[in-house]
Amino acid sequence: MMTTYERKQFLELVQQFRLATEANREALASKFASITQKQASEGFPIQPVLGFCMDEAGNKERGDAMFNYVLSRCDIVYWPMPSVESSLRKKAEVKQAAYRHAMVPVKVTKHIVMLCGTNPHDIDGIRSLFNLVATGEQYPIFVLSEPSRIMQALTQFA
Amino acid sequence: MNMDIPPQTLNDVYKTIAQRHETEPAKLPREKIEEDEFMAALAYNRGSPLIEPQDLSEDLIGMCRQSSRELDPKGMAEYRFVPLTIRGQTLLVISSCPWDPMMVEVISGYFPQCSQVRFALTSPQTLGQLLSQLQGEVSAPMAGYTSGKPAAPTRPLIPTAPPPPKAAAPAPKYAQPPKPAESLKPVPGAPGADAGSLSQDDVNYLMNLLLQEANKLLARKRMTRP
Repeated sequence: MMTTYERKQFLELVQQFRLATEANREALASKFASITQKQASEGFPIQPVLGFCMDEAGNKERGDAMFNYVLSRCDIVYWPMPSVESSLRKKAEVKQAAYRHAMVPVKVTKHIVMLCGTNPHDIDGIRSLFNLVATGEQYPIFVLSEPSRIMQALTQFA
Repeated sequence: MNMDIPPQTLNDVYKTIAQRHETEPAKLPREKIEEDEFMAALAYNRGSPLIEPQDLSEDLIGMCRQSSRELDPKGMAEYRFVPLTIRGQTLLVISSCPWDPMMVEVISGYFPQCSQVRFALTSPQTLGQLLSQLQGEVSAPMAGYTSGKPAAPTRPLIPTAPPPPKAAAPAPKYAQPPKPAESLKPVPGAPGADAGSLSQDDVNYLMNLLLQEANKLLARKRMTRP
């Protein structure tokens, strides 16, 4: 089953890009669910719904258009170089939350925590990762990046 | 630190910091707030990434170099920005004054293919370091940079309205691109109006309009390498 924040983004994308008809929308959703269940059981990062939809788009241009659409529809700033904050790479609980939400803590300082993900609807992910990495009363900042870059960044965890 | 921050933005930052310290904005000892904390609160209020000196990696500088290769470093220093990257129709710019409508105007003129401009915030000092590194020099603060606004003729003469106040919220805030210069009121003397009776205000208004257009042209010329 998709979570609420995944479903929100999924429905927006399939509707906007006509990825699926009414008839096979559920089939597409269950394909996503089965892929992500398998990834979770094998301990791999969970593919973000945006990445899944970009793969299903058929070609790179359409996939890119999908990402650009998401970027243009929200006020969240694009971040071109997500990378896991080096001090957190060995923390298992951070890795687990990052894998589950396809989101990485890019920067943690005395005053800010900057998180980078792919789903602007994923408030749960922001909250859970922030609670794990914040050491005080830092300000949370969330930025967006491409699913491929996030998946690449997730490999930096030990 | 002199960043020419609009008063409303400044008040919002102090409100945010006061909230963090669980106190009233009026009771906040402003002179004791560290620059790091101030910049963090400003970035949080705008929903912008914050670029600090330790973030000036080779990757970041390489991307900036790639995006700014057609631009004149003096122009970037004057308008206090460095383009970082383009994604689709969105341009990401590092700036120490993302609220400056003139700078937004200059950027829009130079990147007409980008319908959206988003900002990563940085301090004037860090921007100076970045610009120095882009030019392959030893890092140093930009000479005369914090002294205030650039020379008067390059600034818009028509004041812009301050942004609306924002309520503080615990969730991350997302940045809105700074609004361009306020739209102009209808020109008196247009067809149908009483063209024969221009007041002094009307004349001033028209002069400002003319000067603003001239500034835009000059700024665009300055941004382009000869």
